[in-house]
Amino acid sequence: MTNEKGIILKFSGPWRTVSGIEEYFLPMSESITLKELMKKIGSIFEADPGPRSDGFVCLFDEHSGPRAIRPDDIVSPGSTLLFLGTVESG
Amino acid sequence: MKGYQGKIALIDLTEKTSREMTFDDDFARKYIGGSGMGTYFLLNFCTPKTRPLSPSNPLIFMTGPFLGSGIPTSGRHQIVTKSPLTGIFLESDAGGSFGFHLKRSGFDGLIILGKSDSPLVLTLIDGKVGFAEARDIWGLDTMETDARLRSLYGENAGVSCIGPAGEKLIPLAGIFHDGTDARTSGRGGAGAVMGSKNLKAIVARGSSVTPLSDKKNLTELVSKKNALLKEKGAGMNLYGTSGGMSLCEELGDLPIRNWKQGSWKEEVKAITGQRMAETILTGDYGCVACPIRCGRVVGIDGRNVGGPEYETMAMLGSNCLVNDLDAIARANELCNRLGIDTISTGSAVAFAMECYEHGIITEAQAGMPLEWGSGEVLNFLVKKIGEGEGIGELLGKGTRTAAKELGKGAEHFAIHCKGLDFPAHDPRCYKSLAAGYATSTRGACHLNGYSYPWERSVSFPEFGYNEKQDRGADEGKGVMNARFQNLSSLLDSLKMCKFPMLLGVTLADLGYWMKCVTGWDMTNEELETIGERIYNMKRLFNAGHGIGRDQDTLPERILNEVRGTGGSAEALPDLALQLDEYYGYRAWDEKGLPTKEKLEELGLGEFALWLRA
Repeated sequence: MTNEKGIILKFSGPWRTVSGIEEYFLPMSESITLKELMKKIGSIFEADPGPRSDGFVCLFDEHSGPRAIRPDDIVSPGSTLLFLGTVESG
Repeated sequence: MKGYQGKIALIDLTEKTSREMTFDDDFARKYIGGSGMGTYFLLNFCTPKTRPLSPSNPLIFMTGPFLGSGIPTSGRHQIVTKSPLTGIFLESDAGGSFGFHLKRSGFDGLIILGKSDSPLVLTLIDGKVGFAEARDIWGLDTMETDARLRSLYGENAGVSCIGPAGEKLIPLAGIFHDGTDARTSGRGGAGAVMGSKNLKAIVARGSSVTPLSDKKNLTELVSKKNALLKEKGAGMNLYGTSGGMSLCEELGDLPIRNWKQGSWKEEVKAITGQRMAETILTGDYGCVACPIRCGRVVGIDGRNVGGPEYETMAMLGSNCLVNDLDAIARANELCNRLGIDTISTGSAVAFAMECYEHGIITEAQAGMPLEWGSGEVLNFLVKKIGEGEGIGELLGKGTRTAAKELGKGAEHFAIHCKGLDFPAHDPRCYKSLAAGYATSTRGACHLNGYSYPWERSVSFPEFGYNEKQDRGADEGKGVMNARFQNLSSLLDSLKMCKFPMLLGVTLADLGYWMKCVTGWDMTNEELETIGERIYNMKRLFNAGHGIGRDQDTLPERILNEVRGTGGSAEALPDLALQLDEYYGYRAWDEKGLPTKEKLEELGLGEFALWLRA
């Protein structure tokens, strides 16, 4: 465990293919918009998961569940962000 | 006995009598529940000569051992009967809460025989079976029926009912649960079987809790898995299953223009789960014990009702070239109220549109021009089908029969296997669906084997699939189908949803949960063998109805016509290769039938007579 402030990123589907990992801790002490955060993530992994990213990022809390966020929404330190893979179409 | 009530209610609607059948651990361990026990009773109470809409066709409702235990997604139930749409085996599974209430009423299942001389409601309350008049609710739609019965029996009751389509014995009629939330046993016409018995509804209520072998351990494990499923299933929670529409289009999986067109890139964006979330979505819905909650609730003219999931969105939408979300949501509500299957109804609408395009159905016959892409036409035809009127009387028989009656080449536009219309996944995109649909025991069904997710995104190491499989390859898909059909049969017997298997639940988890529920030590091998046993029983029922390799085929359009555009533009399945591999793995004979030796090996020798029927 760490006391460092930051955001937990969890990747699935095309995001995982791009990042090559399931989970990543991004140290961050200030709040940031999703748009800015995406730029940071893009530079860390030097790739873009492609157009399927629309609507596929959400905040997640184990009690309240997922919440969809938009590019201009603020992401605060201590958050968990899910980068969703495919939505099962069964 | 742990995990079970140990009782099945055998009900005779003709005489309005009932008796209890009990079973022991050996029987339960062999057939589990749901699909397994349901098929066992079908083999015992039905014959090849039984007509689907005759009083002697059993209508079987079954729960499973996991129901009531809190195991994630275990709030489902299974309906088993002979189909009036296909004339062969039918099982139709649904979520919601009815199964939970049925089990709490004191029964693991119901076997309904006979025919009431007037409309009836069957009640199961605290272990007692009752028969109530239903004349005043006959003719009501499914949501009105549910509301009326809840006002009489209380909100804490499970209601399962038919709509006007079931009353009129329309072969596309389903059985509906949970009122406005519309959890549905949609496929294959079970609603018409219920209607043929003059049975409008079943109400179940009770407080009988089944004991568990190791509740403490189960509670801890369930809590951990629920957290995992909530996280891994976040996309389904946010957008429902129609959140996958764009990806399906991209890969060439989505049915477009009655399975003829390969891409619809811009148009599809108007009818995705994401679009729904931005517009008409008012809430989500979860079946009993489900942490995922993929069900949609949408607002239509101030009413909050169940919204379209993927299959519905695709079959009523892209397959008819309709990209009007409001029109699809209304058509979905109409299907649910009248009590018809959205998949087969969408297939019938697309079929009618293509027949109209080719002059096989005229404007005079149809009542209006059946133009592709019209939300007005969609809702017009859905109403006609659900009410059995005009052109709807013909279309409500299903595309196989409608095509035969129309002639003039209409058969080419009827996209079905054994009379059951295709669901919204294409075997030209996921090759495993070729053998999957061709051998599925109720006709074309994506859930019978549920193999394609393992060609799209996930692995299943317990079967040796350590990474996702090549969706364009035919080799290996026969074996893959057989194994996932066995797994699906097991899940349909435990009465669990299949989604958890994509999200991190393993076969070993199922075994461990079984131990916590029943006390039985079950290896992965035993669980797989149970699935195999149950699958062979279903095939045996169909063998008695003349089904074998000759009938295990696909429509000409799927076998031989490439679409030329999209993510699977030039792909066609090699069905013969897949079937050879499939029958070989199953150790069935060259006609595609279980051998006596295989039946003996699976402990099914008593049913061998079905092979000679």
